[in-house]
Amino acid sequence: MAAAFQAGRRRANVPPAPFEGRWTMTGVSTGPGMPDPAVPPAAGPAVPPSSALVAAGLVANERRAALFDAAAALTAAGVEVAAAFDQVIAALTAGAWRGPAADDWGRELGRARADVTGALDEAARGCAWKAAAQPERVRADDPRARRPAPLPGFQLDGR
Amino acid sequence: MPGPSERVVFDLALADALVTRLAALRGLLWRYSRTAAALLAPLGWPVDPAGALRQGAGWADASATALTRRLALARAADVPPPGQAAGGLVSLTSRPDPFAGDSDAARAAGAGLGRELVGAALRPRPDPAVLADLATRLRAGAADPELVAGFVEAVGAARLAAVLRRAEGVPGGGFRIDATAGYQVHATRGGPRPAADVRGWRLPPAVGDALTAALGAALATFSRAGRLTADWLGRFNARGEPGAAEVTLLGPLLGHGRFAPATLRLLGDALFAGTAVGGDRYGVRPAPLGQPGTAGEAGAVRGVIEITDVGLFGDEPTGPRRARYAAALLRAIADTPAIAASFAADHVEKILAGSRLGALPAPIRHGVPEPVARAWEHLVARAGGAEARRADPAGAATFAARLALTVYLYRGAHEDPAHRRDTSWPPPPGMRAAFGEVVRTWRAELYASVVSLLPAGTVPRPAPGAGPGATGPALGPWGRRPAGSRDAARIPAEVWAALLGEALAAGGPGAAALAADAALAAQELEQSVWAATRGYRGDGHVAYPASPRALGRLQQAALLSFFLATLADTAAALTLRAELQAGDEARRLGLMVDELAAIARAIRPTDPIGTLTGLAVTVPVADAAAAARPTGQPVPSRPALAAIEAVLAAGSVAPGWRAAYRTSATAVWLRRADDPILPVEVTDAAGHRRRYTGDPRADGFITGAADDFLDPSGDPLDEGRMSPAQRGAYLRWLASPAIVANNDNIPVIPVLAARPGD
Repeated sequence: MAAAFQAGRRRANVPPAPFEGRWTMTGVSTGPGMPDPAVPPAAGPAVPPSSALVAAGLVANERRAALFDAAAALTAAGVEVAAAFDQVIAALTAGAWRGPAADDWGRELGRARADVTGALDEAARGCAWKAAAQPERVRADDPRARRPAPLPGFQLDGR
Repeated sequence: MPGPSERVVFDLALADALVTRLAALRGLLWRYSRTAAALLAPLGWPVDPAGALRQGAGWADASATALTRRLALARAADVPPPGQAAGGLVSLTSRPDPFAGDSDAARAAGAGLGRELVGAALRPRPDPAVLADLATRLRAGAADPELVAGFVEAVGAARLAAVLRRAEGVPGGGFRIDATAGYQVHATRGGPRPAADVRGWRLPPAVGDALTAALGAALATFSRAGRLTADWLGRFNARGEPGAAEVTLLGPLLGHGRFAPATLRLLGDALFAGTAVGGDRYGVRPAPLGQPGTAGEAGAVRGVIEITDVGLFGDEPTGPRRARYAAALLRAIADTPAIAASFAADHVEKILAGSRLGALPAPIRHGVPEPVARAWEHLVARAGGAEARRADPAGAATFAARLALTVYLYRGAHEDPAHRRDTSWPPPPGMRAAFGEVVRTWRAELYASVVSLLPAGTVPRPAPGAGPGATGPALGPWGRRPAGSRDAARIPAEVWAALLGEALAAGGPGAAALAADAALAAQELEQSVWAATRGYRGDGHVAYPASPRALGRLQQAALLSFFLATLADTAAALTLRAELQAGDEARRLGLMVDELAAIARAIRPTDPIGTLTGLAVTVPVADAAAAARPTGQPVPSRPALAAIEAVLAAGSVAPGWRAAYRTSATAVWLRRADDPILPVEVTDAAGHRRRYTGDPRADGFITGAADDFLDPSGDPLDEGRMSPAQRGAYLRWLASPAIVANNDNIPVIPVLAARPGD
């Protein structure tokens, strides 16, 4: 997750490029309407802004970048959490504990895995959709032109 | 996770991994809940997975706690520890957890129960109904290690000793209870004494017993949790004195739960350290509690207070309470197979000396308590039994070796039949029966040693007045550090004979069972030799000097000859003793010789199966005849001795048969150039047709330099210079069909001759 988060931060530091008409990203439409919920949008590389955009006073939408970063981080978290759940499930199915209560607890474990990983997946998709709905460029005086400040006292990589 | 009683199985290693992984999952979910907050809060929470993550972390946390408790309950369950074959599996019926997996709640409940018990039991006049109720509640939770930990910590070792004095009805003790300071206990120095003691008040026996049983079960759980250490015992006295352990108070508790082997070992070593059986008097004194490596010894080394097993303040060291404690402890150790053999091996000399002392006739006031003497016998029988052998093979082999050697050396020092001298103190019949248990458990090793073509080992020569443990080598069958279960096979036949002889002297069904074992061993030997040499006669055109089974028959005869010689020696020793003594003891010994004669008559050296049948029929008849005789005879009957002599004479194989066979077999090999070895083709035990030429290399006995027992000129090396691998290959080659069948000088088997009465 830390690597994904750092990658997102590096992308956010790419200098603005001139406007080249309609912005597109792989597999994601920036047009009106929501994307296919079964296919979460990917945070593809930003196309360098043209000099025309710079001339028009438009800058990168930092909120959009932050949402993509969050989506990537939540996706990575989902993978890591699922693996940790699977380690527990492997020990249980290998025979660590057998009996009726163990069977019940195994079902609880499965539900907990589905709940947590489902919540992370849904959150990652939600962030990606909201990011995709954002314009890539905003006016320099738009609040979205500034990177949202992280909360003090929180580790961004979860460590 | 509370619920009804259910059957559960834990794989302890995997379950530990499961708990560890759950804890890691909990940590991961908690960290990501904070990460999600850090990422999403500045964005105005467009989505919120943090709640699900926190919920998952909470669930994992609760699950890990509950599972940890379940595992602790499973480990504390009063069932035998998992064996090697079970793969660390614990299978038990779990009861509903009244604390729903909450360890803190269990500990708090135990602490509350402890405080209640202290208040109820140490007040001047305890209410029996309240104590009975507390005993019931404690008994119900006694298998819960966390409840018990809370209980024992709240009561404290010193106040627990005072409670046990009340429960067991032990008066006095030189302590007082300060009711104004939470019932703390102190040594009496003119202070107030509790009214209960002053007025001679006692708990009703039923309540005392219930309280003792509950405290026993709870302390057993405390012990299995590894908490009943020397340090804890150093505070276990009702005077509150540091470093004094009133372990005698544990006596009535030991039968109410399975105490940890480490605790039993600690107490047992202190018991023997304080037991003196030298001279003609049994004595007990306070002894250090804690062997090297334990807390007590470490404390002593650090200069902290040394912990001492003081028995019981105010009680005679050799009083009945101490004797009951010693017997209960020895029986608890005997019934713990994991430590029984190694513990008994460490104390075998003292056990046998005490047992001989305790069997001295009535005019001598030896002072050995009867329960202790019986517990020694129980310990020897269990330490040498099959269960201890399975649980601790190396320790069991060491015990068998040291037991046999102790008996052998003692007999050598005190018995000299040639000069009609016997100054020995015979072990009691119960101990002789216990020897029989050991001999029967190690039957295969005993008779393997008897029929081996090379002596199994050498007997260490002890320094005068020292036991085998003190003088023997550090490793091997005699040492204190067991080298392995194979050591029992290295016990020389003469040492085994001493133990077998004492076991035979027990007489009765035990002696007949030992004879049946000998016959069975002979039959098994014959069967194995036959199975390995089937079909050797080939086409009938080759005439071998001997049958390839001739060696097997010789070994079979030697085995039975060994048994008969041991039996005859035992009969002779009993006869000598009977002649040296007079009266009832002599009559009893005379009856035993009659029994041995009946066994001797039943043995058919050439017919092991017939021997087994004969033993089953003849001996009980002899027993009945002896029992029917009203007074017996003052000395062994001449017909009985004559019968033993006749059987021995007919069945004896010359003592030098091993060396004679090795010489003749080697001659077959050395003369092969002039007198070619005829190949022998047999079907072996596995059903494969094999051709033996007599050449150890061609026949596969020598596979490389490690097991090559021939020198460069092709002669066998000197046996004393052979390595174990060379020795093993040499013995297999000596017994191989071609070598045996081409040997025309195999020692004669005299038992083949018909004997009177056949």
